[in-house]
Amino acid sequence: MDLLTRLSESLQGGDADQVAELTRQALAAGLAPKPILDQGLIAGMTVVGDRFKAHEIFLPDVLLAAKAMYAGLDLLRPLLAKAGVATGGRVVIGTVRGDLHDIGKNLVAIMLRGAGLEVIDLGKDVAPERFVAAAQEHGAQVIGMSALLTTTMPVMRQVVDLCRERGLYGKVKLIVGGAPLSAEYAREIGADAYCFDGVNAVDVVKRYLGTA
Amino acid sequence: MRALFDIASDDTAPQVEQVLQAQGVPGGGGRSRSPDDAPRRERARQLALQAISLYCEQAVPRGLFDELTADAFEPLLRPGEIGDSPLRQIYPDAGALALYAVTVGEPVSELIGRLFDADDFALASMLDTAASHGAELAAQAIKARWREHLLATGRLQPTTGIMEFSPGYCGWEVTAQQPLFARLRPAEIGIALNSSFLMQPLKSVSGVLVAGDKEIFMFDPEFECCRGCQARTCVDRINSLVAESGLD
Ligand code: B12
Ligand code: SF4
Repeated sequence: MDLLTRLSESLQGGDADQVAELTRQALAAGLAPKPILDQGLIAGMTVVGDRFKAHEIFLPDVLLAAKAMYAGLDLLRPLLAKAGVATGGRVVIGTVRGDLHDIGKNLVAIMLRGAGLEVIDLGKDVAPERFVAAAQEHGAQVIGMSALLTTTMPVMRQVVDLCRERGLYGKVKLIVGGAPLSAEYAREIGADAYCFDGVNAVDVVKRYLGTA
Repeated sequence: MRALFDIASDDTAPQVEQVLQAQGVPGGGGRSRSPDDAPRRERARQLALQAISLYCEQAVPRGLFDELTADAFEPLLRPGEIGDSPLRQIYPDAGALALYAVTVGEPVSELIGRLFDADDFALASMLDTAASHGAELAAQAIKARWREHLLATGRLQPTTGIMEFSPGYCGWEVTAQQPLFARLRPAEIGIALNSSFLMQPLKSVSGVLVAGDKEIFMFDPEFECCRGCQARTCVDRINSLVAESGLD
């Protein structure tokens, strides 16, 4: 079995130490960071996402695989930056102001990172201004917002409106998620998409970035 | 009567199976169809045990209850409430009512945050689940204290049942948190309310305890709020009320 296939399989098994070790070996063998990322780490995480979607593995398995992914990514990141390899895209994500429910947002951030995207996680209780400022500062292509309460859903509209005001609307894609939301609500507030889970979010964001 | 309590963290420790089930791990009740589940289930189980042990180290459960009359409770139901609800139907027939709040404290949430920051997602998520269950069990502990108090004051009959309701559930609007907090003053046990009616620390539960003849709780879940409700937790709650003896 070649090194990158072994890397992908170790990641699928959630073995962070092994992933770090194989990533080092791949670099030492002279492989460039980009194929290690694409054919090793991202390939492994894609299998994990698919198997989770098919109910073949459990949430802890996905989260252990994500940790393993980051163990490899931490070694590659400085090299990718040095080589001027662009990341797959940049997403600013957070749970909206007033809302402290963050489990879903965390999962989405993990899945997006696992797909090779750069994620700027603003945490929970995030004010509209911070979403927009972070998107501008980091040159993000996508803003992702999470809300689990009916009382905090309207904050999403405030973010959309602020994007209009600042001239970001249409340039930055706005995606929303959380149990009480729907595609209809997303349309009503002028967001670009509603995503029902992390795997769906990866599909949607990749489509926007033209990397699907 | 108003009473504040410290609760032993071990008394609010969730069962490993509870945590696994909430994480969707079979044995557990998850939906994985793969034949090679066993090692992954065992790995998840070890994580759950570790999370429960961390929970017991970090949790600082505290709670309080404060009794009130039906007349005093009525304004707490009102804010923004749409339509009828189980609570609105039940509370006028209650023999006794008490507002309550519990928290397992901030340190657990801080640890969850640190674990996420350290990329320890699986353990962080497991601990989050354990702490959510811990908060629920702390609420059950306060309910048990109130039950003892009702017994001691001669208000508990063999046919008495106690059911709890929280703002944000079953047609009781989450905005009711504000008048509830104004009356209950849970700041004394370290709980604050934010502008969207959420409590900090996150792992806190608030609501009302309703005591009365079990008959009053036998409602049909056909209220406006029941449309589209997938949780249907009322069914289990009513069943366990039927099963328990009021004087236990
Ligand atoms: C877990 C939970 C909690 C946990 C939160 C832990 C945490 N760290 O977040 C705890 C126990 C602390 C909690 C507390 C409360 N909660 Co709560 N909670 C839930 C619950 C059961 C599940 C939410 C969850 O984490 N689901 C699992 C994740 C994985 O799913 P998810 O969040 O939907 O995310 C997925 C998708 O939606 C999507 N997604 C989510 N965000 C995003 C963002 C983007 C950009 C994208 C693309 C996709 C996406 O992808 C995610 C991954 O698959 C919901 C009920 C529900 N069915 O949603 C109630 C719920 C949100 N809670 C509710 C309430 C009322 C409360 C309380 C106020 C109750 C009270 N009075 O005590 C308290 C508040 C506590 C406080 N501090 O004030 C209500 C809200 C009702 C309302 N009117 O708004 C709900 C809906 C329960 C209900 N009534 O049915 N809660
Ligand atoms: S069906 Fe849902 S909303 Fe209705 S009473 Fe039962 S749990 Fe509450």
